[in-house]
Amino acid sequence: MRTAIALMAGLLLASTFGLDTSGGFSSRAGETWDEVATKPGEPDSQPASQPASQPTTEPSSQPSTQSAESQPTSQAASEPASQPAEPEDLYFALVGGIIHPVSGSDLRGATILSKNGRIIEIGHRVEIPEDAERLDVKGFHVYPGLIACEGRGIVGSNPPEDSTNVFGTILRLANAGGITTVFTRSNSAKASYGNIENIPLRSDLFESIRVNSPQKKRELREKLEQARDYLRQMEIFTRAKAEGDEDAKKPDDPKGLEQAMKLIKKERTAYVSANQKQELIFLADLASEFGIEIVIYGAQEGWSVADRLGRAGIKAIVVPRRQSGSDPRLNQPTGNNIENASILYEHGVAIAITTRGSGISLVGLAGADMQHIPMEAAFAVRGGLPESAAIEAITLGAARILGIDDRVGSIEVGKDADFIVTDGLLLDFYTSVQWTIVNGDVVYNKEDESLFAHIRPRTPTTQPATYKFWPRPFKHQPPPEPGAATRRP
Amino acid sequence: MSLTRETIENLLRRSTMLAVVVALGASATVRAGASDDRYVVIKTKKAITISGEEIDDAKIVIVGGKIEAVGKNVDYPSDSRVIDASHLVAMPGMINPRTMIGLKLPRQRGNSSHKLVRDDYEPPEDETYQDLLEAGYTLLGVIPNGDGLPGQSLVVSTHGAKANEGVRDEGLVRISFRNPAREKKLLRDALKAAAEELKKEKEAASKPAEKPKADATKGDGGKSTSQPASQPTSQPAKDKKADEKPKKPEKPKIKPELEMLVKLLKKEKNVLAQIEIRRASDVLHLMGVVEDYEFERVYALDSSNYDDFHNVIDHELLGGADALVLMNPILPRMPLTVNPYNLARELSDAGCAIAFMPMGNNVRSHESTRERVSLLVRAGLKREIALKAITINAARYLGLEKDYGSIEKDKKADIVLFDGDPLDPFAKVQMVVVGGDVVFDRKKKGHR
Repeated sequence: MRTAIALMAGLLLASTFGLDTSGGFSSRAGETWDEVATKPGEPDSQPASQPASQPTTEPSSQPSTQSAESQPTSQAASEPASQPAEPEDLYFALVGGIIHPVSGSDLRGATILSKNGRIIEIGHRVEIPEDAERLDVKGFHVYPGLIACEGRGIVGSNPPEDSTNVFGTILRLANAGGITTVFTRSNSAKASYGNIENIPLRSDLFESIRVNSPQKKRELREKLEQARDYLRQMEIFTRAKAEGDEDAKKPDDPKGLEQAMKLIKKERTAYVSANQKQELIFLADLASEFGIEIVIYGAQEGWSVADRLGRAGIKAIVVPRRQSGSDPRLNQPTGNNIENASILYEHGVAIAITTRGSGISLVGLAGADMQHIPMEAAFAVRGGLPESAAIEAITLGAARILGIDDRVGSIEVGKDADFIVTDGLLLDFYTSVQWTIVNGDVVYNKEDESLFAHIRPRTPTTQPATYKFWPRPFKHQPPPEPGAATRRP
Repeated sequence: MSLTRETIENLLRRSTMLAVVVALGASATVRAGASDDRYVVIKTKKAITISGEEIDDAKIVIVGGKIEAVGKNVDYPSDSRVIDASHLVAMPGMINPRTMIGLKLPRQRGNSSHKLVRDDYEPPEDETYQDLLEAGYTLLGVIPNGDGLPGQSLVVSTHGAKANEGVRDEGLVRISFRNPAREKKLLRDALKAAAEELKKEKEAASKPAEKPKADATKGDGGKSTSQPASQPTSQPAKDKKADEKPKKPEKPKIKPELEMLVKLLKKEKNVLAQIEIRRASDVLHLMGVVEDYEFERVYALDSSNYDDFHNVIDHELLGGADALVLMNPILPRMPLTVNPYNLARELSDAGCAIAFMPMGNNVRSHESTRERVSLLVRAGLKREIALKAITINAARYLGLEKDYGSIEKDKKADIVLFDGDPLDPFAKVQMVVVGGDVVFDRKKKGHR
């Protein structure tokens, strides 16, 4: 319940802010967030009014620190419904970082203040409450948490809130890799080490379809046609009924067309794994013909038909480092291409980038697994994608494709407080994640993680830091030169 | 004492047992002539009583299968039968509260908490029991096989039918929480349904005025725990039915699989939930299900590596509630390292009571348990806690701490005698005495 109210409030805020933040952001580069927020004439959109109004709307029968889904509707007989204590507001302030909000231009040395896991204020003159948890990140870069598309084994599936192993090493390594949100099959969920509250994000967006054989393509098309015809006849019937035509005949109830109807009504988005050119052309045609929304996972040969995909409004989750040879039977360019993401982007295809390995590999920490999403995005940059587009493809762009951009993907007032703090620009191979924050909780700190603490340690001291459980003898390395990690201008 | 029906039965049973044992070639382990009211005295080098301190040169007086007295200078009749174990160290029989030895049941799924292991249990071959006795184990808790709420555990003695009298066979509800994705919903729904049944029952009870009185008698009857669990609750219920049948014929009927959960929520005596968890995050998931209910529960950590349990040692279900935790006697390692940490010690420091179970269902793992426990003691676990963990706390996991698990007055005389300290890996079980009978004697066994 609390989550729902906060979400609604967040949406309201986001919508009232919408014009200011996205439209006029760059033109007001000199102004800070709090100045925008406290502009006279917009008293309603003031974030400061939010804390005051929130507790009053909360139902009084809610016990403290419980999520709505974990509470049985009938209380145990022994416990009378007494007046519970008002849940305490938890503030978290991230102070002094170089903020890359993705949705707008960068802010140097600004402060992000969040309350109960939601961002309430961003700016240079933010008043931090006394009881706020404070993390000073002066000189570090702050990005929104990364989104791992098709990440398997990080959070549980079906449903994630009931099956996630929140103390698993995999989840910790995911947070270490900057991941705060995971999309698996049809569920989007938060990846937050040690927390089982507020895990689910969205699970009602996608319908899986398959186009990997001629028969499946034919069946899919037939079903869509039948569903379209049925909906048309139904509309004719209702219109005739409304006009008083007694002879109007109701169309027969369709069978097995639920999925197709949902797609045509745009209640759901089709999710399909496809790489080959012929499949992509078929999907583009389908999208234009029936007006359905399609998200393609893979789209490896998309660069050869990017114009068609772009015109059909297809969205794609691409894997820049995945390889495949060209098809010798076709007298056409096929196969993988380093420019794939870039060409798709240029043709207006909404893209998200994900890694080749779909899980966290403990075996090698080899660099091709989910821990290295920024590396994958950097590879797309090498193929011509603008750096800002590459960062967007692993944060806000992915969130838009997954339909969760109202909660995650960028650093904006009203969104969830999911950040990563890095010691350099995100796509630089020198850069590592120093802190990960999910819902306003610090869930990862590089100095405490035995696997990574010794790699370019953050605090250059003569004695080893807290490597309590690291088996190797600690070898002190000279600290990097100031600015070495951020060589890029 | 005259020859009552009971003693005749006892004699008969004894003679059949004798026949079995003769067939095994160890006839001297049983003294057919001994009757229950005769005093038996075990002279020991040392008695580790668990409940109190360790007594040197202690004598343990047994009568009627129960311990009458223990101490350095205790009185006993001159015609008592004396078992001379003055070179041996006595300890209460070890208890394995969670095993599947001898279980040939199919796996149960969903909520089948009304099923009893008793109904389908086939005792293993006598040789297995003898081997378990030799390993020092006198009591086994046999859990039902399956996921979710597979049924109620059975407690058997490794010393045959006679020693099984008074050992419980119902009321131990196993809750397997190994796969929260499936079992979280199951358990939540089951508890909710049970709470609703309980509410209905209370409403029905509040209507007629006589009902509270009936409840009171029920509560009194439940006090004596030495009897089988069904005894006290069913007896007054029958009387009540006979009295009140014409008055109110409609009693709210409860589904059989919910009955046990309702009893659990009523906090009836003799009803205990044995909750099994596999990883640390299961504790958080479990918290979401059980936080609104109060009932008697014990926990088992059902896993072969405990590498993430350090995260939840102080959780309000475990350390915060001083819970009883049954675990394998192993030294887990911090994740991704070779550095061990002593989970048993950390848990007991946090306030939990620890019990240890053997690593597997085979005899070998029962034999190696003492050795593993001694390693934990070397790694910092207190010796007293380690000894409690294999005796009295293991009995607590079965709800039998009033009858088993220590050498003190009025407890069942299950006594194991070692030729050294029980936590010394070199020490062997030399003799096992159950109810005054020597049921295992290494000397008589010959080559072993």
